Amino acid sequence: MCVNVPAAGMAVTGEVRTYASSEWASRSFCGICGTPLWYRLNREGADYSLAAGVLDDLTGLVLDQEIYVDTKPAGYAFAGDHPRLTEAEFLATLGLPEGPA
Amino acid sequence: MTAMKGHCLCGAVQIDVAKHRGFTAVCHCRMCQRWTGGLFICFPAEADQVTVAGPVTRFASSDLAERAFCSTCGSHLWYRATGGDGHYALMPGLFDRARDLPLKSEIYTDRALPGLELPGDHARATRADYESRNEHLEGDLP
Repeated sequence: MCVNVPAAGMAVTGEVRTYASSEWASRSFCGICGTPLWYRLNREGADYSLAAGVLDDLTGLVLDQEIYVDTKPAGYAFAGDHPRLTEAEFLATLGLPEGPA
Repeated sequence: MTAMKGHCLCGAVQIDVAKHRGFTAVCHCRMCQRWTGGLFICFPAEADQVTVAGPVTRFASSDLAERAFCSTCGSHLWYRATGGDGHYALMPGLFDRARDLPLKSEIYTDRALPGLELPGDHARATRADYESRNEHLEGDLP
């Protein structure tokens, strides 16, 4: 679950470890306790998809979108009437064809 | 319940589960939220049914428990209480065969992040309910 933060809005200190999870993005986490920090595209000045749990105060934020719902496990679901996009629908919003699963 | 094999995102940590308790459980306490980024969901398995290989980092998140993750890619592996029967609360996302386990329990429901309250007829407990049944807990902040 993440909150989108523009690069200019972020200041980071501490033990950040980064894993190159794909050709187009990386995932960063705390090297001491494993808390996920953000997902970020490999583009200069890219936004941070910040892990929501990291923030001390989430007052006023709402769940706005769910993506890749076709690969969601059947055993649980989130409540709410926010948009839910399948993989294909999400990739279409980026102008990309469907990739490998 | 069926045996299953799982691995972290980079593949370095491999976990074999011979038997597990057959359900998932969610916790919305502040420590679990912070550690996971949003939703803590696990499925329990007895210690002698679980085999682990690979670069695991264990973090002693409190006097009561450790939280483990892959040292290379950061994937969360388990939460494990240091006392009691020592069972693993494993992360279902590591295992293809854990995908359809039913959700049986949700605790600290009043702490859920916006949108993450889960519908369903599983057992629920608020923070007050849960801590009144577990008096060794002193709140959900580190």
